[in-house]
Amino acid sequence: MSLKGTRREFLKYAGIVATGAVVASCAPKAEPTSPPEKVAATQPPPKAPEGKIEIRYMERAGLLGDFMRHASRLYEERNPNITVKNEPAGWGDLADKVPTMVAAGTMADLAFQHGAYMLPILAKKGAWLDLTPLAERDNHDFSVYYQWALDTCRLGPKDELVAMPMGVHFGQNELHWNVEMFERMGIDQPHDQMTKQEWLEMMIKVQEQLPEGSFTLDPGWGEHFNTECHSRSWGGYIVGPERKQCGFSLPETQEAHRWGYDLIHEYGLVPNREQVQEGAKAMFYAETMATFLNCSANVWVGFTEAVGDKFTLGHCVWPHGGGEGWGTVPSCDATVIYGKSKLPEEAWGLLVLLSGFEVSKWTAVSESHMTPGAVIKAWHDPDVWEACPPYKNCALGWDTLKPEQYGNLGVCYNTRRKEFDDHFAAEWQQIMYGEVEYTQAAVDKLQGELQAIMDKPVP
Amino acid sequence: MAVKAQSMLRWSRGVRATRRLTMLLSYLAMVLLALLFMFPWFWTMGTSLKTAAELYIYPPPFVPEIPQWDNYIEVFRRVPFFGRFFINSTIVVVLSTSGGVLSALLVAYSFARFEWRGRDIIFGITLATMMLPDQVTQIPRYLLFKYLKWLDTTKPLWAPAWFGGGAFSIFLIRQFIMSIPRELDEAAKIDGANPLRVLVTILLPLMKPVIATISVMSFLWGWNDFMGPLIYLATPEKFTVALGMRYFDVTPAGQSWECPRTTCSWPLVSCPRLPSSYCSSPPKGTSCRGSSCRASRAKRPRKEGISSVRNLEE
Repeated sequence: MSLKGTRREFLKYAGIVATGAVVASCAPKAEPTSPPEKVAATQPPPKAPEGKIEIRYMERAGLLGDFMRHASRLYEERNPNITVKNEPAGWGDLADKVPTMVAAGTMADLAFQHGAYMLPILAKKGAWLDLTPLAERDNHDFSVYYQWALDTCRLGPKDELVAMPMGVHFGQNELHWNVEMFERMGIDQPHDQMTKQEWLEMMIKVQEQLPEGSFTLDPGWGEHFNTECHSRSWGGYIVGPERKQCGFSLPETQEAHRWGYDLIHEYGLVPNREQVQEGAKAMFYAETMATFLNCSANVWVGFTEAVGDKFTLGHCVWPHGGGEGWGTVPSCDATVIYGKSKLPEEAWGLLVLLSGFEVSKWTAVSESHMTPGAVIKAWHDPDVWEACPPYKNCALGWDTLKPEQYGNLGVCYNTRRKEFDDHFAAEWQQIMYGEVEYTQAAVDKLQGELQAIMDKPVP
Repeated sequence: MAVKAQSMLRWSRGVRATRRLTMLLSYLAMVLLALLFMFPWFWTMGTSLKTAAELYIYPPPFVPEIPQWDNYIEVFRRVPFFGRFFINSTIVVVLSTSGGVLSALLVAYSFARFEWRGRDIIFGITLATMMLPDQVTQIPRYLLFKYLKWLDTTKPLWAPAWFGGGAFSIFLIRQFIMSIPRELDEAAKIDGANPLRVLVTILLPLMKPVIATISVMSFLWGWNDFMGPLIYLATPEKFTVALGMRYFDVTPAGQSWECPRTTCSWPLVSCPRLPSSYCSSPPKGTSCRGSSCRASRAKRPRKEGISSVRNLEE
């Protein structure tokens, strides 16, 4: 047998050997793989190693995440052996980035999660650490927070507490208006004791004096989250108290929806799809919309810069009084600890700081004027009220709520929020804007489809 | 005769005048179209100089009352390492473009000019990868780079380009090579050129249009790539421009005061694209012109034997 080969064969085998050597040198040592498991810390984890420690915190990019970076620097000052590596991500990008990193096991130690749009999905899969053992060990005082905010964070596989609340709001139930516009029109300013009928009569008068192309309101009741709040104000709901039943076809819910439908088609107070220029908020700032119904943060944050000295912001919680119901959909921004974090105790320390009074207050009085966390004391702080008058209304309004009025998170228990919301918006908007006839058959059809989504198993 | 000459003269003057008028109207139309297509850019520039309050005036003004040049300074104040985004993007696109073009060229040459077992099947598989959505391969690729310890580095953004350059580039170059007559290769082989020499000396000079096209497209893909930097990069100083823009992110409800600063970053971000766009469509009459191309020149043949091939270029 001849050992001679051609040059081509030699190059071929040499290439194979070289490639194998390169791949072998790059690959890490094989680690035993284990199937995905629900993480529940049943006992305090082992103490972290001494020396310099770095914890990774995936926070929110931009000005609205400033308070997270502020808290990170404070934590470093008070714990010189700990460095917080901030990894900013855009609000919407977190929905792409976080699942990828969790699936790959490279998730940061802490992460920002929105309580409705992001938290439920991975929480139910056990991605986040159960905070109860750490909190019990430290005797953490939970009475400082709004309980309804804490309840929205109990989303673990067995409904355990997996997040600590930061910025909170109670749903799209704060009315804002252009004070000078109402004065020019000679119409009384809205107030929180208005009944729905009184409000309707007031808005009809406003609409009569508005120029062509301007409207009274666009409450965004084509989107599920907004219309959930609206439905609850009428005594109904779409996502039920246990979050497993759909109440779209309930008479109270339909009364709310019919009211919204009439605002468009009968009274002409709300723009149609084609009539909205740049969005309702832009129209409100541009004074082509008289009022704006949303949570305070979504109006107040950036209001001064956007409006300048053009007009004064009137605000109240509504519908609230006048003997009528006040629908609430509690929601919060939250911080979670990764279930497989190697530094849970250090992460817990930062978590406590983020959700505490000091940072909560700083959040509201700083440049961004974001909502002051979930700490009751921060919402009643005079400095916060002076810096952000709408938050005063919220705080005083929430004080009047009884526990049975707190409402529940408007997210299906099986965490199929996006599927549910997208289907609701696609189907309901056709009815709301008159593209599909508003009949009982259409209501029953949509009810059945939404219930079917809620009946699906957790993905 | 004289009458005939005069009528000929009048006719030729008329033709020239018509031609001038036609050219004038054509240029006028092109200028108007250019202004129309450039309108979004002008609007962006104007918006970047407005105050936040001016954004919400209806009807919106085209130019600000007082240009806020400070907005551009504010961009760098809010994000001190905004300039770093450009450096990172430049590094990524240069490496990915050069690697993509080089490796696609070699792979396509192999597909186009060589007969080997399984060639067509493998080419079909290569094309089939174009049908895979990014979402399907996102997590496996992420895991691969995790094991390579390349996370939070720019390597995942440019290194894959060096392994084939992408199915689309391979396909495009392959088709182009197949349109070049094999007789050129054979003539060169007769003169003693090996396959690599044939590629470099014969085919490559003829492939400038497709190379330029692939380069421009790779540049644009790399510059605009958002998803890759989003999932692979964590440290802000390593962000590329596309990801860095998210520092002026707005919430779903739309926070307003960042809008002028966001708009400031758009003209800065769009500038590198203009030369590359120009380069992708060179003016008629030149083989190539622009920052990354040169007008082709007839080169002195190294060997007498391939001078006949060079003549085809001229």
